[in-house]
Amino acid sequence: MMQEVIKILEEQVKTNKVKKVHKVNLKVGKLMSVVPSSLIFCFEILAKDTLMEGATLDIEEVPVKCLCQDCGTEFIVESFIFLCPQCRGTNLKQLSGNEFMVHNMEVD
Amino acid sequence: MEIKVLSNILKANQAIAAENQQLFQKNQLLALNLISSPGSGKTSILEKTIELLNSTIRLGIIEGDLQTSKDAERINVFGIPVVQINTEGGCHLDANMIKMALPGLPLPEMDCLIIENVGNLVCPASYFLGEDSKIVVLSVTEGDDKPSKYPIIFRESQILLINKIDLLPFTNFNLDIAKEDALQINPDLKIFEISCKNGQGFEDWTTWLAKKVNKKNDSFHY
Ligand SMILES: Nc1nc2c(ncn2[C@@H]2O[C@H](COP(=O)(O)OP(=O)(O)OP(=O)(O)O)[C@@H](O)[C@H]2O)c(=O)[nH]1
Ligand SMILES: [Mg+2]
Ligand SMILES: [Zn+2]
Repeated sequence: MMQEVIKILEEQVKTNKVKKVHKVNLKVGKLMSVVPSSLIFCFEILAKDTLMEGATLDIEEVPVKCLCQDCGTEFIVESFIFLCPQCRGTNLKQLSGNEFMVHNMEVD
Repeated sequence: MEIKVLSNILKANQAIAAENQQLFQKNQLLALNLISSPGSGKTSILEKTIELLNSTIRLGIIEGDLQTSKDAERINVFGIPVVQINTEGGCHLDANMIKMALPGLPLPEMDCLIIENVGNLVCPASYFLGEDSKIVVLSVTEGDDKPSKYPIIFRESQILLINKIDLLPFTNFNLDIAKEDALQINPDLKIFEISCKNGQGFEDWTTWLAKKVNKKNDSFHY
C-alpha cells in the first residue's frame, strides 16, 4: 500500500514542480489495522533517493463511525463491537473507518 | 506550501473492480474472494470443494501467489480452468491483476469463480476485486484472537470458514470466543466449521455454496 502512497506523492511532486517534501499527512481508518511504525518504516525505505527522503509521515487515525438504520443514532464503534448503544440493533451503516488516503503534503 | 491531495489510495482499484463485477454479472457467475493468513488451508479447501462440486457446478479458479505456481498446479489436476497470478512480492491481489487474468478463463462456461488471494489478512481486505462475497478462512492453529486483531477482514467478509477443526483437541483455540468475536464485528457473518483432513463440515459448506451459485444463476432468468 505504501507503494501506492508513493505513486500518488510522485504525481503531485511532478505536477506542482515541488523541490522538497517536508511532511506527508495520511488519514487511515481504524478498521484498517495499520501499524503506524511499520508504515513509516516502509515509507522511509521507498522515499530514499527521492524528493521525499527525510520527510515526516504523519498518520491520523480515523475512528469507526456508524449510523443505526433503526433508530438513527450516530456513534463511534469501540473495540470493534458493531452494536447500536441506543437500541442494541445491528442494522448499521458504516460511515467511516475504512479509509486510507493521502490528505495533504507540506512542500517547497 | 501546502498541497491538498485528498486522494484515496483505493479509488483507482475500485473503478477497475466495478468493471470486473459487470463482467461477472454479464456471465451470470458467482465470484468469491478467498482470504486468509499463509497456510490456513485455502488451497486445501479449494481442492476439497472442487472434488465435491465438480460434477454439478462449473468452477473456475484464479490462484494468487507471491512467487510460485505450486497452488495452480494442485488445482490443475482436477482439469478445471485455472489461471495463475504472480504478485512478485506484492502482498495482495488488486482489481487490475484480476482484469488481466480474466481473458484466460472461459467465463461464459462457468457458474462460479473462486479467487485464492495471497496469504495475508490485512491488505486483501481493502482491495475489492469485483467479487460477490469475500470468504475469510481462520484455522484453529492460528489462535482465536485473530478476529479482534484483524477486524476489517471479518467485517468485510460474508462467510467465515474455521478450518483444521480436526486439530482442535491439540490447541488452546476457543471456538466460542472466536465465533463470538467475529459475530460482534459482523453480525451477518455465516460461519462453517470444517476440516480438510477428515471432511467434517464440508457437506454443509458445499450445499450452501451450491445453493448460492444456483441463486445467482437463476436471478437472470426472469
Ligand atoms: N490437520 C489439518 N491440516 C490441514 C487442514 N487444511 C489444510 N491443512 C494443511 O495445512 C497446510 C497448508 O495448507 P494450504 O492449503 O496449502 O494452505 P494455503 O492457505 O493455501 O497456503 P498459502 O497459499 O501458502 O497461503 C498443508 O500442509 C495442509 O495439508 C485441515 O483441515 N486439517
Ligand atoms: Mg494456497
Ligand atoms: Zn439504534
